[in-house]
Amino acid sequence: MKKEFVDFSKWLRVNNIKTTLPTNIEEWESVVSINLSNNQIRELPESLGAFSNLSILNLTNNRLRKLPTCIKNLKKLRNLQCENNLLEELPSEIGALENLMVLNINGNRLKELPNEFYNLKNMTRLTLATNFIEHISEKLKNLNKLLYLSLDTNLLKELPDVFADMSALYFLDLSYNELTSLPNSISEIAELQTLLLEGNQIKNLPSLESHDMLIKLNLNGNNLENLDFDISKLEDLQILTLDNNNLKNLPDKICELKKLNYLSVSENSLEKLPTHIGDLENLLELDVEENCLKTLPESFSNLRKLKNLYLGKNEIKYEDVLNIHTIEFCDLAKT
Amino acid sequence: MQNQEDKIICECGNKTVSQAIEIFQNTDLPYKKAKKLVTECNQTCCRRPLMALFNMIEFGSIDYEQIDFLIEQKRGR
Repeated sequence: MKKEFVDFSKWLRVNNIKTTLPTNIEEWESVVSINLSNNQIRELPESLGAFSNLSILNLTNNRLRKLPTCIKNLKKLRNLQCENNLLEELPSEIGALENLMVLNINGNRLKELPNEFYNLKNMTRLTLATNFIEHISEKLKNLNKLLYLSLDTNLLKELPDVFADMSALYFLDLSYNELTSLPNSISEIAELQTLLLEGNQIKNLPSLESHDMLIKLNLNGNNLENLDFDISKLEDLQILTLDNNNLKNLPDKICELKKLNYLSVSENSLEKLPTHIGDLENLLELDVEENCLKTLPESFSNLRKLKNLYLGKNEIKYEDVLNIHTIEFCDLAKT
Repeated sequence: MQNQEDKIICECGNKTVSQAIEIFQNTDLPYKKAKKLVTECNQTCCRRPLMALFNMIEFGSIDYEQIDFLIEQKRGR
């Protein structure tokens, strides 16, 4: 029996830590998964490195300020969950986890990432949200197997222009940073299905026309005054949210999005809706609260699938929506 | 738990955790609209604890310790 396992067992006992480990230490050599979540753990022992067959390690919801350097011994680790801890830095040894595919460090205190982090070339799912990261290296381009990347709620002012090779990326969340623009290579992510840009300071978007597989686009809370690319090219788009911008109108081309079922443009300065909005034949929900709308276009009554309608804080009369019989919920509060 | 319930979850709306719970429990609005009843503003600074609380209420079980952690995390930003 490894001495490290005895040490680890003592550590569990002394700290009254709940795990799913087998009670028989003899079996620990072959353990592939350890769940240490929700234990108020402040520090991990070096003996953790003895679990050389470990594939999944869950450290979520603890009070860890650092990860032990022994992490480099977990060569078979594929999934590391460290969400909601107090990590202020990652050890450079993390770069040795060559089989790591899933890494979640959401909700920590990271300010930067070590260079070795970008050696994790097999990662497919990376969540670095809700940290204090100010800079992402050009080496991000090494992580070209990524399918899912969440960098939301950090302090990023710019991003490296390295997305051209991330052809498999289908989910990209850059919300709640300090971005004023986007790198051009974002347009080259061929498989992108979800792009979340809420809560930045973006005034001018690059053309997103190439994203013909995009299903969800969230541009809430930016400084957009118009959408000056051909939005009809996003032919798979189902969810479009543009709340809390400075839009005075929506492009007519938006009416060609036949798959759109959720459109939200609340808290803008819209004075009218596109004439042919009724062409959005699959629209289920429309939110145009807090705009400057006085009337609805005639075609509005063609929105035969519309169920939820938010029109409050405009100047629209209740009578204008009476002829839409499919509506299950209509909020006209303080109109 | 009493202390955790009395903690301010949203500075803009000056609402405690227990007040936010009451608001969420008494509305059928989706999160996007319900949150404004708590925040009384268009800001998004308290969204992590607030969204977590909304989801917990929908799920039927509130983890006060987790909400407390998220409030502290927000204050640290």
